[in-house]
Amino acid sequence: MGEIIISTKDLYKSFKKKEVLKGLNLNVNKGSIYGFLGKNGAGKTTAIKCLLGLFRQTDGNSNILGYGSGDLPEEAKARIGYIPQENDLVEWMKVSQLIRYTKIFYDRWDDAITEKLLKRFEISEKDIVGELSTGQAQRLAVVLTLSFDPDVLILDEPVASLDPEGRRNFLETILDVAKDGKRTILLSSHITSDVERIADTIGILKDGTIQVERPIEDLKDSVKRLRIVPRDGVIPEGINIPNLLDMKKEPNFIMATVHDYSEDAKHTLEANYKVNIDVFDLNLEDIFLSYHSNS
Amino acid sequence: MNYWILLRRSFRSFPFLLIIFFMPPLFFYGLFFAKSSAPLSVLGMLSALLAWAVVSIIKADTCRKSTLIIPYFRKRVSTFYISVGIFIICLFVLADFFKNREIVLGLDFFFFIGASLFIYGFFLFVSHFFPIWIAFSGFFVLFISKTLHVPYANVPYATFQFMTIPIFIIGLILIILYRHKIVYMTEENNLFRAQKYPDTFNIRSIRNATKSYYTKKGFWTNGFRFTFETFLSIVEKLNISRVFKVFILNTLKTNINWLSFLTILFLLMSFMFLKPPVYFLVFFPAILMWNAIIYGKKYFAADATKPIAIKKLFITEYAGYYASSMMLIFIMFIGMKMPNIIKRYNDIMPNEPILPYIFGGLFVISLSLLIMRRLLNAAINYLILFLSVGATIAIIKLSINTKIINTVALSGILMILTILFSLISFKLDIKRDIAS
Repeated sequence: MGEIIISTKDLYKSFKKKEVLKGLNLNVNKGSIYGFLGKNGAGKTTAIKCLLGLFRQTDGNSNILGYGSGDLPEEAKARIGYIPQENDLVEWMKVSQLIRYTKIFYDRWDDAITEKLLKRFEISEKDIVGELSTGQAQRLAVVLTLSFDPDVLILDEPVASLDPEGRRNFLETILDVAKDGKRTILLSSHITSDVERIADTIGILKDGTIQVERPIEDLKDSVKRLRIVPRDGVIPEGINIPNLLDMKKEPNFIMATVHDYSEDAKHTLEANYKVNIDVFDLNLEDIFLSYHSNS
Repeated sequence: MNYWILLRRSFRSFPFLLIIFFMPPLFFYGLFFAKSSAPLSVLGMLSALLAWAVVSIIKADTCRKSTLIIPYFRKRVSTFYISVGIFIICLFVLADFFKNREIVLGLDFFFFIGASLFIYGFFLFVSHFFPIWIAFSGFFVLFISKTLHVPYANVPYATFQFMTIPIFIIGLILIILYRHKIVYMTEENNLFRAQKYPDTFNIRSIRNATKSYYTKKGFWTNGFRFTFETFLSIVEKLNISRVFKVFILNTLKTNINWLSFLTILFLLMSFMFLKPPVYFLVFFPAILMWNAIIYGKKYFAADATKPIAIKKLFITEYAGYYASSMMLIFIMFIGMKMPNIIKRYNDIMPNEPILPYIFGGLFVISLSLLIMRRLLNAAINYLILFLSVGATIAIIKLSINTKIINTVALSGILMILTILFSLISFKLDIKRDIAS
């Protein structure tokens, strides 16, 4: 296991009586692109804001770059780039003014990166920030964040407001940034197809806790859909499928999704219940839905 | 018509109604504490603010849900809110007159009522069609009040008697016209469609509603950008610490609508020309803070992830509020004192000590830091704004009039309280969630 750059341990956060995070444990290795998945309202943004010190946690610990989130020193903040879900750019400024204002905060600002990204995203420095479309504003936020060459990038639903071309452009930029393997990226999203394209590790958040946290290939190897067909045509009563995530009974067969799938477990099931089992691979979206299934 | 539905709709905007019904007693309270009566400019200012509140509630409650409301119902709702406003204005004027004036229900009483209604009607109109009420309020309230006040003070009584009637009638016509516009507005009306208000009237909704004001390529907002550009160029070249650079630009960024060159010039000219009463030194910083609360929180959360310690950022923000309000007080002070240089203005300058009001202005900033910034409900903040400004002015006036305490000592007490409240607020702030 590599060096852990972002971590939370038993992290709790409540807003009055509403408990949003209930013992969140999250670990992001150095150089990793971590896809942080969860439904709307699952607590992704809350977790990120706790990590950045924007929310005070109710209990537990959270760390970035070895520092406690509650009191991140300036040298740590200078290495962390954050793009929030809703842009918080100063509307009345010109793009050039906002860039110059943001630059004042950072010692290692790279004008060449700014220029390159502005060109790539087709943003004019003369534009007024408040007149940019939501997508353009989000791209400007990316420019401002990448221009100081951060070691850690935290992206909270960054592509939600972008069109398909913008999303592709954005993801390519992120892959560009990450290709040297030195940067750590935490990408929160519920658009699983985007996460699947770039993430190497997946964490699925549900009910305020991480349900699963694994490298994406491991996760895909582990979660399978089983088509269970009884040999005598009668679905066995009280069938006990180990590591079950969801199950749907049809007249002649059962469709079940399991985690930690193994060939041994499959053979045992076939022998015990006199069934034939077909195994199917799942994409990240199906896996995500299975973890959120109530059936 | 189903009045039960009307009542339920009214209570949906309960915080506003609460304010509307709380304001007269508060005003009574403030006036009974202070010995002298409020001049017409204060009544005008209150009428304008009331109009702004009424327009906001009508927009939120009547216009936005236009597809759900038949014109007849819209008529009832808007009439209800507008009437509440008129009722309160009458209470304001009554409260003022019952205190000190010998003739309670003379023609001058009707003149005050008429002038207040005129300003109320004017602002109903202006606030609805131009969201740039901030720019308008400072100038027009004073301008209209002063213009009306001058003949009141100087012209022969017969002329004054004659003026009462047209002013009263114009006020009523403006109110009726506004109501007519609201009732018969259609979905196709551009003004109607352009103004979308969310369900509840809160800080966020004001922020969104005024967003366009800050982004338009107008004369005023280009002034913001020009001022910021100038300071940005200077700060970039200065060899000072990063925190100090952040302080200068942050202060400018959060309070740009008060600190732009254009606004400063405009305020200076207005104050020189209009000679506002000294308690504007308390009122304007409170309005500045009200504005900063709306924009400050969002910007603060954005800057909190940048490489500056949270404590330093808070100190920067606090210092920024005080610096901008001191700047504003200084401009007002210059504006108020400048007419003294011109001989003919000498006799109409206020003869009150100015120092306690300057510290009073800073004191309301500390009150706002401590209380208003923690509440995101515009209605409650509005109430507190009135309460704190009214009480501060009343206490200062009372202290000066009764000579219980000398002005220097009073200023000292206000300064100590300002520091104390700021420290308490700082202690509370560094423990709370930064993001909303």
